[in-house]
Formats: sequence, C-alpha cells, structure tokens
Amino acid sequence: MTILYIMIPVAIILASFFVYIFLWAVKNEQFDDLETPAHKILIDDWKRKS
Amino acid sequence: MNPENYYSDCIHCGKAIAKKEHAIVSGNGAVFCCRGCETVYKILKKEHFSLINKPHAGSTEYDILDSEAFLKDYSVQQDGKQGMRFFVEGIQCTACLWIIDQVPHWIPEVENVHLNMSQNTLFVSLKTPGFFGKVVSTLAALGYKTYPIKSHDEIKHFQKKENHQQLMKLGVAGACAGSIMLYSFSLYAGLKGQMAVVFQYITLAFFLPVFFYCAQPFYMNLWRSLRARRPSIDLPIVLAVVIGFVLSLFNLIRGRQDFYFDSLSMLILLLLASRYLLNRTQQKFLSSSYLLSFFESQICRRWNDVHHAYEKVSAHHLNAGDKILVKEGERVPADGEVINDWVNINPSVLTGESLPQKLFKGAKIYAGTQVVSEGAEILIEHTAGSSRIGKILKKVEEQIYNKTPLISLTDKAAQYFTLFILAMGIVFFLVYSFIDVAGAVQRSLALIILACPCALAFATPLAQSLSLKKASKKGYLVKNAESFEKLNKVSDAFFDKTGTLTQGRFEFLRWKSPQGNESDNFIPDNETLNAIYSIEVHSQHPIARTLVKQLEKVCDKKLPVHSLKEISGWGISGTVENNHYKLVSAFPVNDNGNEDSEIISSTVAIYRNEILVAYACLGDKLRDDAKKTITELKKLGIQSHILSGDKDAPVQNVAKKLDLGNERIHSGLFPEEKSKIVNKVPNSLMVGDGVNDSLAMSSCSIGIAVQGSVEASLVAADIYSTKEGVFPVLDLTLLSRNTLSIIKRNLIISFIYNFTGGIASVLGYISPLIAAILMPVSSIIIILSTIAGTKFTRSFNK
Repeated sequence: MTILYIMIPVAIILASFFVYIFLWAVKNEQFDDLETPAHKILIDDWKRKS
Repeated sequence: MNPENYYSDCIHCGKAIAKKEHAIVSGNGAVFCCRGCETVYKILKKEHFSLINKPHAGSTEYDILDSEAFLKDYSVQQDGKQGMRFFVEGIQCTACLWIIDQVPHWIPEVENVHLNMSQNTLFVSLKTPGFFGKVVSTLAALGYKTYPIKSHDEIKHFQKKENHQQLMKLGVAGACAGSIMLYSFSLYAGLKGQMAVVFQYITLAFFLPVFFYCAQPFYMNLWRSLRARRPSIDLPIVLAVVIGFVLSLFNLIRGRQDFYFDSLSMLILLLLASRYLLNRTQQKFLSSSYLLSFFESQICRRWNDVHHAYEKVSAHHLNAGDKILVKEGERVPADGEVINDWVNINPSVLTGESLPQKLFKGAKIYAGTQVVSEGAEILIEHTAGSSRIGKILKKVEEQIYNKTPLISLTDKAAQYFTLFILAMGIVFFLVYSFIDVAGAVQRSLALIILACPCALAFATPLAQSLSLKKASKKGYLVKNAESFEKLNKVSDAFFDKTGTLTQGRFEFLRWKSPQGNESDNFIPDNETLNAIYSIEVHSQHPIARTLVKQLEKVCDKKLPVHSLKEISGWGISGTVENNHYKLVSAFPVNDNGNEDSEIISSTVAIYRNEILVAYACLGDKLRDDAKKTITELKKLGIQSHILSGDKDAPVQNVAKKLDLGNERIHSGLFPEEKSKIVNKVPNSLMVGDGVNDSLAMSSCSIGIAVQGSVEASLVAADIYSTKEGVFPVLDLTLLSRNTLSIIKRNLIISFIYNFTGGIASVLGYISPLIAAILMPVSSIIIILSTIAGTKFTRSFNK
C-alpha cells in the first residue's frame, strides 16, 4: 500500500495539470462558440484550390 | 416521411423542406432551404456573380451605421480596431456560414467577421472605419436581416469574462468533485487506519476550492435575493452547503466517519453545470438591445436654403420647421405636414390598416409610416423623440422596465420545501433528543443535507435550457426561461390582424365575373386587360398602382387613352380604342369565401360601354396556418381575440374565416387602446408585428413577435419567431406546457426520493456507502427524465 504515497501526489499533479489546461482553454476563448466550428470544418479551403 | 410535412428537398444541401412557403424558389425553378444555399449554389454554377457585385452598387439605406452618433452607442474597440456586433436573422446551415465568411473578400476594408451560430450573432471588425453600412447592405442583398446590438448591452450580456468565470468554476468543481468521489469511495468501501485519515484530509483539501471558489455564485445570489426579500432557491442550497461543510469539518477533526464532502461537491457541480447551460441558451441580449434607435438615427434629406438642395443629415439633427424629402420605400422620420400635392403612404406600422392611404397637401403624416409613392416633401412639426411613435416607444421602454418579475414555480416550491425540511428536522430533533442529544443533532442535520432539493435546484434549469435550445433550433428566440412559465398560464391570446394573421400586403387577389358567382379562374379578355392597364397607369391611387403592378406581367403595350377622367373617391374613366371604360370602386362582392384565405378589402367594378364586364378584387391574404393555430389553441383552452387598428369590415371578414365570434374582435384601435384591452385580462398573450402592437406586447404578460416584425416590437416581445406565420404560437405553447410538466414531474420524483431516502437514513436503514451510490443515481434519474421529456415532446403531443 505504500505505493499510494507516490500515486496520490502523481494523481493530484495530473489533475491540477488538466485543470490548468482547461482554464487556459477557457481564457483562450475555445468554449465561446461551440456550434460554428463544427460547421466550419465542412468548408473547403478556397484559397488553396485556386 | 409525412407527405403533409414535406414539400421538396433543397437542391443545394439536400435538407427536406416542410412547406412551400418556407422554400426559396429561384428563377429557374430550383428550390432552396435558405438564402445561403441559393447563393452558394448560384456562385458554384457561376450564374449569379451579379449577386455578389450587387451590394457594391452601394445602397445608402444603412449609411447611418457609420454615423458618429450611431458608432458612439454601437461600436466596440478591440485591439485598436473598430468592431460591431450584429444579430443576424435567417442563419440555417453551413452555406450561410460560408457566405458570411466571404464578406472580407468582397469588402476589403473588413478585417474579420466572426459568426456565432449558437447565438445568431456576427462580429465584424474593420481595417478602416466607415464600412459597417456596406457590410449590412451586403448582407441584406444576400437575404440576411441584420440588427446592430448596442455596445453597452454587449458589455452586459456578452461579457466574456463573466462567462469564462462561470465555466472556470464549473471546470474546477468538476475536477474536485471527481477526485473527492474517488477518495471517498474507498472510504465507504471500508478503508481503515492511517491511510483512511490521509484520504479524509485529501477530500477536505479538494473540497476547499469548491466551497470557497466554485460556490461563490450561490452566496452572491442568496445575498441579492435576501436584500430584495424574494424567496429564492439559493437559500436551501447555501444552507445545505454551509451546514454540511461545518458538520463534516467538525466530524473530521473529532475523528468520526460522517462526511458530506462528496455529495456537496457533486451538488455544486450539477448546479453550476445546469445554470451555465441555461445561461448560454437564453437570448438575453435581445431584450435590452434598443434596436429602435436604428430608426431614430436614420439618415434623411433636409432642404438647405443656402445651397438650394437637399443635404443628408441624421434624424437626430432634425428640428421642427425643417423641410425634408422622403423617397419611395423609406420611412418618415418625424411627424409633420405634407407639402406635395398628394402622397401615398403605408400606415400599417402605426395603425395596422392594410390599405395604402392617399394624403393631400397639408395632411398630417406620422413618423414610421412608409412612403409608397415617388417621394414626399414634409414639413416637420415634431421630431422623432416627441413624435407619436416616439412617445409610444418611450412608453414601451417604461413598461418593460416596470414589468413585475415572475416569482417562478421553482422559487415557490423551494420556499415550501425549505420550510418543510426545516420543520421536519426540528420535529425529529425534539423527538430524538429524548433518546440521545448528540445523535439527534447529528441525524437531523444529516436529514437536512440529504433532503437538499437537488431536483429543484438543477433539474429545473436543465429542463429549461434544453427546451430553450429546442426552441432556438426551431427558430424561436426566447429571451428568458421564465417566458415558458408565463406562456403556460396564458388564458387569452390576442392577435394583431395585419401582418400577423394576414400576410400584411395589399395586393391583387383575383378577378370575378360580373355575376359575382364563384366561377373559378375567371379572367377578362386580353383587350379589356390592356385597356385597364392603359387607363390605370395614369392614376396614382393605391388601388390603381396595385392593379398596374399585377397587369404589368401580362400587358405589354400601353394604348393611348382619350378623355381620361379621375374622380377622387369614385374611380377613373377613359376611352381606349373607341370603347369607353369605367373603373369604379364597388362594395365588396358577396363573398361567401368558404375555402380560400383571401381577405378582400376593395373591389373595383369594370364597365365597358356602361356594361359591367368584371370585378377586380384586391386585399390581403390570411396566413395558411392562422386557422389551424386558432382552433388548436382553443383545444388547449386558450381563447383567441383579434386586436386591429384596421377598419371593422376587413376585421369582421378575417374573424368570420377564423370562426371567431363578434365579442372577440376589436377593430379601429389605437396602440394605447390595444394595450388597455390586453391589460384587463390577467394572463394574456399578445402576438403582433408592428409598432402599434408593441405597447400591448410590453403590457401583457407575454408578447410574441412574428417574423418580419419591426425593431420596436422585437424589443417589446419576450419571444421572437424567425419562422413565418402564427403557428409558432401554438408550437411554443405546447413546448412550454411540456417543459412545465417535466419540471413538475422532476419535483415529484425528487421529493419522493429524498423523502423516503431521508427517513430511511435517519432511522439508520441506509449505510453511508449505499447513500453515496443512491445520491448520484437519483441525479441521473432526474437528468434522464428531463432529457427524455424534452426529446420526445412531439410524439407525446401528436
């Protein structure tokens, strides 16, 4: 069971890492519009073609 | 597929189109679901490059957008560049997005456009100032109606920071609650010894950010509602969270086993999530964007005595005594007096009257009316603010401000629930304290925490937000979730006539044979048609203009007319190719109109050499869905009424076709009178489209603005439908009933669940592990019931 003394800090560090990534993404306006990008992916790049 | 609900597929994107009216049929017969598809299709087929080039011709209609006064209120600075946010109507699919994304290619001065499809908003930033008008006119040419959103409202409602804060709290709460769950689960499973103590303190450590950071909104809301002395759902939540935290902390320090960190953090997570969802789906920005200043800051042409020419000024700068020119199709910016000999106007925005009017020199002309003849010169008496329409708009604003907020069902339920649970806790404490005082404190507090009204607190916003989302997918923009609850109580629905129940256009309907019987498809011979055309071309009367517009399609030659005579209020006569024609207004021919939707308001009798040859019927058309909607509403127990500013006869005609009794129709009403009638009924619904309805819409309990409404009614209404017709009223009513029934069902489920669970646990029948499993299970049941309920509305109702 002593392995838990390593595993718990690792888990906590991992969790805080993901929380940090999430906060970064929110601040980066990644969640402001969830619908438009889903449509945008369907649009071909117009410039590359010509 | 149901053939009744199917018209055709969109030739571009393949989406099925339910009704012919919703389809856009282009010149060569191709059918599209939206303007975007049409445009893309045409661009791909290279048949319509003019469509893109068209806007460059430059319409000046939207130039006000770049005027200083307008920019002051509407523009947003971002990285030193000017931006403006718009609400765009008619966004359907990827094609629309593609089209709008092309704007910077067409207008090089535009730096960037960003369309948000979930909010139907568009953000435009410019490289060089002065091109917002061009963007809007381009979009208008493409078929998208665009409204600018005031910048201070944007600050209020698009405040990204606040949104971000909410989302960040949600994220932190999720991470902490998940971790707490992991650690407490092993505790419930029977972890003992030193490791158990470590785990207990870890759960505490994870709960601290939840308690002090994530739960902040609840403390603030409670504080606000306590100050306003309104019952609030936040009271039991905060009570449960604070008591639970203190108790758990106390137990932890004393080395006892009863903690509630897991269930409390889960509760906060669920609450935050559902509230965030609801916040995202509400179309709040529509309620306070004063779109009406669009009208006030219109550009108009003022006569300049020095230069002897008309100069363009903003309507803000007009003064009483100024002379202005209003061109065909434009709206009059201020109340005044007509200077021309005559002018044709469409007063429907103000009065609801369907027939264009002819005004003579010296007649009063009101702001907001549309000029339909070639141009009008007007001497201003009252400027926009003090004009009749300005006063109405001001009153609308006041009424929106003073509208009493609804004390929602959930708030009421929360009040009772809290009292009930507190009473239960006290009774239990008193009874149990005879046995064991310490145990009594412990168990009665456990009861309060366990019975926390989680369904009340999170299932309600969840149900509301899912319904709002559903509504917005269907094209209904609901400003706030309360509207659903208000809509559910409605007992009387008031409809405006012109533009709401009817199409709102004055147009040629059909010919009728001299006998006046219902022989279908009667058309006078070509000779007569040509003669009518040749004569009516010379008249400026609204009826004549409408007839000419119709005949232009069939008649190609204009014949010479002799001895032309026009008598106002009677008609016109003249001789064409040796035949004497007389076109006089007649009483509407006996109209048994059993089958059709035509509302004939004027009839012209056509005589050739004093012999009656035909009747021409002109008027408005009833919307296809009007009758069905009203009968269905009646089945739901909602009585429909008509409120119209139009004359009695056409209103009667509409009422007859809709099977509405005489006591339910009111005609010839001024906006103020409409509002008075609506006010007499406690739970009233007003459906309308014009400025004349906006006062009633803001004073009744809920207002719905139909497609094509003017900005003023958009502001006054609680719900705005971007779908054509009045069917949305029925659809929304069904949706609101469904939402409320889901909320009620959730309340009942959670009450039973919490009640039995609470009792069982205080009596010691439920072990902590089982309680820990049952708690999320109850939440999942409620979430599933909500999702299933909103998903399958239609199958239940049909």
